[in-house]
Parts: sequence; C-alpha cells; structure tokens
Amino acid sequence: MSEPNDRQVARRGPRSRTTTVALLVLAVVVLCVYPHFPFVDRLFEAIGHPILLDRKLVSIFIFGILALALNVQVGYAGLQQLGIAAFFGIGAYTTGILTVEKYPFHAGFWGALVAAPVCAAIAGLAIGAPTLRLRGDYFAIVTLGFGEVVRTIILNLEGITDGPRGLNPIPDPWLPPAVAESSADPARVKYLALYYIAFVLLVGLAIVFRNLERTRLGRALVALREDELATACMGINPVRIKLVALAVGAGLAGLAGALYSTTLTTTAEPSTYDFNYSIMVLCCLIIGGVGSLRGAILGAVVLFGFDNIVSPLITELLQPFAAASSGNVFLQFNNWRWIIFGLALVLMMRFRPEGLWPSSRMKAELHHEDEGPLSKVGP
Amino acid sequence: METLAQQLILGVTNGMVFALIALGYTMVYGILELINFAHGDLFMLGSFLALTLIKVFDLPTASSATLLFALPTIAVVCAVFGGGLNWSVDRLVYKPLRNAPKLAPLVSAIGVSFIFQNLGLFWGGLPLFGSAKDASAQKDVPALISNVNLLGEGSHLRITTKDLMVIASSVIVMVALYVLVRHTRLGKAMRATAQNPAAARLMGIDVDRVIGATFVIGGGLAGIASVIYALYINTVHYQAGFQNGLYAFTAAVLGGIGNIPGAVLGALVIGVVRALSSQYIGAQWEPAVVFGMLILLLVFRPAGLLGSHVREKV
Amino acid sequence: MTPSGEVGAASVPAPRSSRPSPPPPSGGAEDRPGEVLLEVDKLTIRFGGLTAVSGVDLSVRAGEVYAVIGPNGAGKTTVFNAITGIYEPTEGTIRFAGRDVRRPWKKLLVGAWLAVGLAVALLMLLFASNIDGAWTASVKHNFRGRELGFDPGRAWSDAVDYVAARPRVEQAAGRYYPTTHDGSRAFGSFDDPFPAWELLAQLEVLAERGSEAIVAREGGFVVLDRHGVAVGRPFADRARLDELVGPAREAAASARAARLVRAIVFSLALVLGVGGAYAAWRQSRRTPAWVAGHGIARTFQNIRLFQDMTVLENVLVGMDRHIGKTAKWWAPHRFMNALPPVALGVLLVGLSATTAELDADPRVPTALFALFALGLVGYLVWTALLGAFSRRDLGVEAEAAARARALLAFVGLEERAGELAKNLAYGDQRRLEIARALGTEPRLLLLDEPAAGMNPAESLSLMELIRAIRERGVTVLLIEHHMRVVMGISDHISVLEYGRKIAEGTPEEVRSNPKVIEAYLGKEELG
Repeated sequence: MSEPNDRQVARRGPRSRTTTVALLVLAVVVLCVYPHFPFVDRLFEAIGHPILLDRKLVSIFIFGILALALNVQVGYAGLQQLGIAAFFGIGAYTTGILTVEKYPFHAGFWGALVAAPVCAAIAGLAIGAPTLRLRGDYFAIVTLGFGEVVRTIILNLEGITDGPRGLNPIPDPWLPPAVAESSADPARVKYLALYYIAFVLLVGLAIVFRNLERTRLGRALVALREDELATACMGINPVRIKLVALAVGAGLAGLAGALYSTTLTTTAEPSTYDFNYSIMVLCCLIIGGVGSLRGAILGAVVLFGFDNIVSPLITELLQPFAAASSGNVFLQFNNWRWIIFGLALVLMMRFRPEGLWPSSRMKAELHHEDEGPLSKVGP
Repeated sequence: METLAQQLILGVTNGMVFALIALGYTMVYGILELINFAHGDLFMLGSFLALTLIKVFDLPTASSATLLFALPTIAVVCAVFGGGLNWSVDRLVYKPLRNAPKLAPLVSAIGVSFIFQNLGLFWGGLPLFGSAKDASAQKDVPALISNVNLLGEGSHLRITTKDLMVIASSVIVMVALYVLVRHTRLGKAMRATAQNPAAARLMGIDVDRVIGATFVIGGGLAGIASVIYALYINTVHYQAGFQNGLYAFTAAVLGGIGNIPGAVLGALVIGVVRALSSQYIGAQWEPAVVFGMLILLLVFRPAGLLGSHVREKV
Repeated sequence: MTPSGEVGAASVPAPRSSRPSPPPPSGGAEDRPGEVLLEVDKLTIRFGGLTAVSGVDLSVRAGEVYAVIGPNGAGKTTVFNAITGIYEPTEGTIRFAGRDVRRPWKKLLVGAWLAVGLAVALLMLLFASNIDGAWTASVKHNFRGRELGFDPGRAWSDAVDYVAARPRVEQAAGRYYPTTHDGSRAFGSFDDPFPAWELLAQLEVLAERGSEAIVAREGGFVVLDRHGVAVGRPFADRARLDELVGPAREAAASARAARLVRAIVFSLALVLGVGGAYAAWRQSRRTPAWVAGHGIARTFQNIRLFQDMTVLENVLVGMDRHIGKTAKWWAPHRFMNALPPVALGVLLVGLSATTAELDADPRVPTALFALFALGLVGYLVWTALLGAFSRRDLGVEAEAAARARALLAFVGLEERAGELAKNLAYGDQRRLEIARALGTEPRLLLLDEPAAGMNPAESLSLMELIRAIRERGVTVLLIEHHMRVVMGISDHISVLEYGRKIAEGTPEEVRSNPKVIEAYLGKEELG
C-alpha cells in the first residue's frame, strides 16, 4: 500500500503533512494537560462569562466517539443510517440497568463499558441482518423507524427503564486506589477519570480507524462504496462487510452511551435519544466531512461547541432584550437553533459537500460528477 | 365486532390523509430517488396556513353556506402554497444537487425539514395564536365540520360527516391525480421520466419541467392533506409534520416506493394497523407495531407490496 | 464456508518488467484440460413477460477459449449475469465443475433458522406477556437491596411463571400476596408465604370444580380436589369460601386467555422468524460473491472499475478474498498492532495520575516539565504508531502487493500501478479489469466484450493476452463482436439470437453455418 501514500505526499507535499501531524500532536498534548491548566476557562472567567469548557470537553469527546461510530456506517460503508441515537440510547440504558443500585447486577462502570457495546452491536446486527439486502433508501427509513421504536420501547417499559425519569443514579467508575485518592475531592477525581477515559478512547479509536482505512477491510469498504456489484463479483460479500460496519458502529455508539450516562450519572430521559439527536450526529459528519476521521471529530467539536458553548453565550448576551419583550419567541436564540442547523446542512451540501476537513479519498468521490440517477440527463 | 368495524373506519380515514402525503413522497422518489424529508414539514406548514386563514376570516362564526364555499377555497390556497413552496425548494436546494451523490440531496432535505419546523415554531408564535410564549404549544383548530354520527346517536358505530369529508375529498383528489398521471401529456412525461430520465430527455421531454411539476403536484397534495388533517384532527403542531411524514413515508415504502397505487394501499394498511394496534395493543406501542410490520414485510417482499424488483443494469 | 481447496497456494513471482511473462498456474491446476468445466443446461431467463434467454445450452471445457457471439440484444450478457449469480435463472441449471454453485443445504442450517425463529418468538412472547410485568415479577421482587442478595434461579423461575401466566406469591413490605397472572392481589395477604401458596392451590381447585369442591370437615370447610384429597387448610366459614369461587374462575379464565394469546403470538413469531431466516437464506444462496468465491471471475461490458482507487488497489481488491485467507484476524501481528494504542492509554492514565497531584499545588516549573515530557513522549509514541501501523512492512500486504504487481505486469500495466483507475486509457482500463478478475484466482474467466472500443493494434495484443491467460490454465468464456478476435482465438463458438442458441461449433463450422450468416447479414432473397 505504499502507492496511495506516495501519491498523497506528492500531491500535498511533505511539509503540509508534517504540519498536520504536528498540529494533531500539539492538540493531543494540550488536551492531555488541559484539565490541569484550563487556560481558556480562566480567560472566559476573567471576562465574566464562564463557559465551563473543561467539563464540556468530556461531552465533546463522547460526542466525538459517537461521530466516529456513525462515520463507520455512513462514511466507510456508505449506509444511510438515520438512527444512531437508538444505539447510543441502548448503550446508556444497558449501563443504567447493569449498574444502578436498585437492580441486582451491579456490574459497575467497567463491566458496563464492555456490556453496553456488545448489546448495542447485537441490536445493530438484529436490525441489519434482515434489512441490509434492501436498497439504500429502504435502509434509511428502516433505521429511522428503528430509532423511533427503540425510543418508544424505552419510554414505555416503565417498569424497567423508569420511563421518562430515566435510570439513576449511575455510580461513579471504580478506580485504582492510587488514582482515587489522588485528590481530596471525589467529584474532581471522577471528572479527571472520565476525561482521560473518554480522551484515550477517542484518540485510540481514531488511530485504529486510521489504520483500518489501510487494511483489507478498509479497501473493501472503499470498493463497496464505489461499485457494490463489481465488489461482489470479486468474491467479497457486501452484506457481510456492511454488517461488520453496522455492528462496529452500533457497538461504538453503545460505548459512547455508556460513557455519557456515567458522566451524567443518569440515563437521561428517553426523548434525548430521538431522531433529532441522530441528525445532530449526522450533522457532525457532514460539517466535518463524511468518511473523514479528523472531519468527524472536528464536526463534533464545532457542532457541540456551537450548541453548548456559543449558543448559551449568545443567549446570555441577548438576555436583556429577551426579558424586555416578555419571552418573545424570536428573541430567544435557542429557538433559532434548528434554522441554523438546517441552513448549515443545506449550504454545506450546496457549496462544500466534502465538509470542512475532508479526506482526500472522499473529496475525490464526492466530486465525481457522473453519479446520481440523473447523471446522463445533464446538458 | 363493532369495535373492530369502528377501528377499521378510523384506520381508513386516517389512512386517506397519510395517502395524500405519501403520494408526494412516492412521486418525488419515483423521479429523483430522493427521500424528500421536508415533505412532512411542508404538510405541517400547510396546516398552519389553513388555521391562519380560518382565524383571519373568522370562519367559526360563518354560516354553513359560507363554509361550503370557504373550505374548498382554503384547500386550493393551501394546495397552491404547498405546491409553490415545494417547487421553490426544489429550484433552490435540490436542483443544484441533481448530479451529486445521493447523500447530498438527502441531507439537504433534512436541512430543509429543520428550517420548516423552525418556521412552524415561529408561525405558532404569531400574535394571532395568542401569547408568543407558548409558540411551541399545540394549536386548536375550531370544529367547523359537524361531528354528529350519521347513523344516529343510538348506533354503536360512528360515521361522522367529518369522516365522510375526509374520505370523499381524498378520493376526489386521488382520482384527479390518477387521471392526470394516466391520461395527460404531463402524466405520460412524468412516467417516462420516472422510468428512464436519460431516454426521456432524448425523446424531447423537458425533464426539469417534469421534475418541477412533480414537486408542485406533491406539494399541492400535501397542502390539501394539511387542510383535511387540520379539520379532521382539530389540532396543529409544529412537530406534527415529522410524525405524519414518517408514517406517510413508511406507507410509501410499504406499498413499493415510486408506485402511486402502492402509496395509497400502503397508507391504508398503515392507517388500519395503527388503529387496530392502538385499540388492541395500546396506543403507546403504535410506532413499534408499524415499524415492526414494515421490517417484516421487507424481509419477505423486499420491494414492498406493489413494487416490482428493479434489476440493476450490468 | 471455505470453498473446497481449488485454489492452491499461489507462489509469488518476482515482479517482472517485461511481458509476456510465463506466469504460474493460478488456480486451474486441478482442471484437467478437456473436462467439462461449465455446463449451462436449458437456461431460461424471463423479466416479467420478456424472455431474454430461452433454453440455452453451453458446455465449456477446461482449458479452452469459448466464445459466445450474436447480434445485440441476443441475451449474451444476460447469460453471463446468470452464470455469475447476478440474475437467478427462471429455468435451467448452471453447473460448474460438476456442481451447482450455490450455498449448499446443510442440516445445520435448520438449526440456525430455528435459533433465529426462537429468538424472535421469545422476544415477541416477552412483549405479548408484558416485559415490564415479567421484569417486576422476576428481578424487582427478588432483589431487596445488596445485603439481602439475589437468587438468579428464583428470578428465572418467577419469570417463567409470569410468562406462563401462572399465579404466584409476591412479597411486599414483609407480607405475602397470592397474585394472579396479571399481577392483581385481590386475595388478601399473609405473614408467611406458605398459606399464600395454599390459597392459590385452593383457588385453582375452586376454579375447576366450583362450589361442589367445598366439603364440611373437622369442624370447618375444606376444599377437595378431583381425587378427594383436601387442599390446604380448612376454612371456618363456608360463605367466605363460596365468595372465592367467582374470582377464582375469573382469574383462571383470564389466565387461560392470556396463555392462548401468548401461545398464538409465540407460534406466529416462530413461524415468521424461521420463515424470514429461510427467506433471507434463499435470497442469498447464489450471490455474485459466492460464485466468484468458487472460481468464476468476470469483466463487465461497461467497465466497472473502482475509479477512485489506484490501479494497484483495484487488483488488490480482486485478491482480497485470498489475502483474507492467509491473514486471519487472530494473526499475531494484529495484536502487535493493538499494542501501541494500549500502551498509549496506559501511559496517559499513568501520566494523568501523576499530574493530578499538580492540582493541589500548581508550581509552574513542574508543570512546564510535565508539559515538555508529555510532548516528547507523545511525539515518540505518535511516530512509533506511524511506523508500526503503516502496513508497508507487514508481510501479508507486501506479499499481496508483489503478486498484484506481477499480475499488472502480466497485462502490461506495471508502470501505471500508482495511478487512479479513472485516469487510464480505455484499452488499459479493460486490461486492468482483466487483471483484477485474475486477482481472484479464477478457474473460469468471463470476458464481456473485452475488445470493445479497441483499435486493431490493441485488439491484437488483447488476443495475445487471452492466449496467455489460457496458458496459465484459466479457461476463458467470452462475448465478443470483433469477428477477427473471436475467430482468431476461440476453440469453440456458440451463436445466440433472440435468446436462443442457433449454432455452435468450431470457428470454421460457425463461419459457414447458413443460420449464422442469416442472423448477421439477413436472409438472402431467392429470386
């Protein structure tokens, strides 16, 4: 596989590659020490608008893992998956059932961290096995429907899931005594632990996927996106490969769910895991670049950052005006949220379909002008 | 037995509304292979327009003769609104993406759907509907059509004027659509384009015009459906488009997407299954039953009820 | 799943710079020349009302070049599609090396379908009998805090009882309630579980026999079962017992109804689950991937390369199935690959534990040192990862790449290995498709109009290539319109017209066959 690398190097030049790597390394290092030197937070605190970036970074990492999970399905395998939140929810609720005090399992965080992905992956296989032979659009509607079904089930099985209240409290992860006693404040220890667990998982997964792209499976996935029939005629079973992608994606979403619910100490209400959440994750990929690892993570940062940091800030700044007009619907920034997302999606698709930071492969695929049903219609 | 019959009536009536929405999905899909996610929300905006018109012209106080004239007018206005909006969305958003990979228009459609939903929220915040604070609340539509049982109040079975209005108006619209697709030049052009756009273009059909017409017709159907829905369900909500659109699209898939009679059949099946499942299993399980059925059907009939298996050209 | 070893261990030739190279026998070592390799028997394919192919027989012998010719629309490509598993034949059989190439029927499959059916049926049964209730009855009722423990066996039997709609005794706040299947506790409560169970037994008898089961005895009233044995302890008061008859009957009737509904749901779900699994299996019995896996490779009339992959990668995709066979997922190097991220994780956690101490007393020099150390270690780890993970040095991929280059050299494209497939000239794309197909190590190679769009010089070298392929021991079946190519290389020719075979034989026989002349040139007017 030296060829594509050589090619890339030739096209982009060795310097830009080194710069990228250096930037990534710098980002990893800064994030490694950030909890101990939260300089951004200090800055915002100084100007009187605390944003709690250090806490929110954990959520951003988890969201990034979720984006990577969806990237396996949408980006790598080309599946039109519109229900990733369902697997996220399955992971969260598996964690809830396995760890809360009122049920007899008490598997703890680490047990749940293994069990949640397994359960979510099984759910993925169960939904994929009968439907992956169908046309792509059918799969879209099936996953969308599956998302709704999972949400309904979680909401209605009140005896198990506590319905709209959600399962809680989810216990903090067990840590080795040396780590657990490193600070007097248990909340601080938990935060640090989850920060590093989520961060290591995110970085580790990114590395694993980067390598996956260069393996046999990665190659088969690219081939599959380009021409499914030709790939099948090479003796590669498309259904099996898609099932693998689906299971891996679903499992990782379950992993993110386990982390998410542990961070919140609750499974959150079932309506968290609805269609809008699935689309939020899809937005991350679209904004960052479908099929691009760095893009998925960048998308998660941008979107989550917008939603949880920028948007509250603006709301806070608009507060005086909103209060004056007694809650006018137009003056609440939060009410503009979906219009902004919608416009972002439409404009991205129109002007930069490959996303902000695409992989070169995806860029090439997306700028293929001779695809689509009306390809031969154009003048 | 009476419960069963009652639920069947309910199911068919609901199914008719779904069918009108599903037709818009299936026609657009048939030609562009695009799941027009915004279609359900277009329907929702239509119902807001209907409610606005009803309020502006103060129809609850009008005589029934006025209503007989006013309601069809509102339906026409909403149809024009729906068709026009759908057409403009196609021109502005989907048309530049005709040659892009399939994910692009799909994502754009989701984006448009979000924009529409947000517009619906703002619409609900207009002073016309009371306080702007509860913009997201459900809006009540005044009962303009009598809900009196036509079989007499003593009867166990209920068929109301409303039910008849829904069924009659939907059937009229569907027959009109059938005639349009089967017996006009435009219909022929649409069918040809759906089968093979390239060949259709070579035969001198203006494919862009046909696609535009499809969006207008689909949007118009959604507009009419929204009026019927508002009068039948008596509430309007900015998120109603997602639920109904989802069921309608499921109906289109169930019947075999791209297939016009299939969409109607699928919608009726879904309407009836929903009604029966909420009666016999529990209303909260409705989505689970509907989608379970969809998955089951697709396992045994991958192309839907009436759809034919499309062979890939090699 | 593994196809019987028709693919021998392929040796790796050193990449050659000149062609033609006498390449190693790829997969056809066991095909004895002259034996029938592919046998198409009365193949008929209909699309709706249209009959594309009707009753076509082909019999391709190992080691020959067999051509199918005929006017456009004669159904040649349809025959290819049927052979490669893209279309399912409406009638007729296709046998390859004496066997029907489709997923074999195994007894184990029935077990798999049953397992799927059972899983679906159990899930539906749980839904039909209210998962919430079952959960409450089995898990919640048997767990009252960590110190009291949890007995999985009892939880399981309670769950079974619940699903089977049997009455049970539930415990709440220290009291024991005889409970009907739907969870109603209409029969009072006891301090002790034993009388509660007794009452349930009595209720069962009362539901069955009614008031006649009540007999005065020992100064009280007892309930006698069908055999005249007293059930439970005596009641002081007959009226109290009589009162129980009605509710007992109701409870029993509703339990029966529930059982019936659950049985129906279970059986229906079982049938649908097994049927669905069977249907899915049937639909995937003869897929292109399965056929290709058994030694039939093909090219396409409209070139279907992976346009955005490099030439080398295209060939590697063709070889992937075999690379997969040599590189199992449990191969040690994969675990070695996993080591660096694991090490990184351990390192980060360790570092976080040490730097956590800085929190209490953030001294700038220490912090800067930690930052520096982290940066250094991070950089080292990162470069180590890049080295370990670029699979350049992994034997399997390197070997595969070498073989792919050999194949490219064989078709004359070794110079262009690094280019994107879409940038190749038309004729080169056709050659690349052939190389990619050869990468699957086929015994039979199907070429769909390989010379289409080629100039005379290219056609000539194509003929040479096809001969070389045959020399490798690969049988070739081709569709072609260029008569010069067909007549020049074919050992055997079949002529199709309107989906029927109208002639067959050696090139000379076909050339002089009046039917063929008529098909191509039209009927001669007889004056």
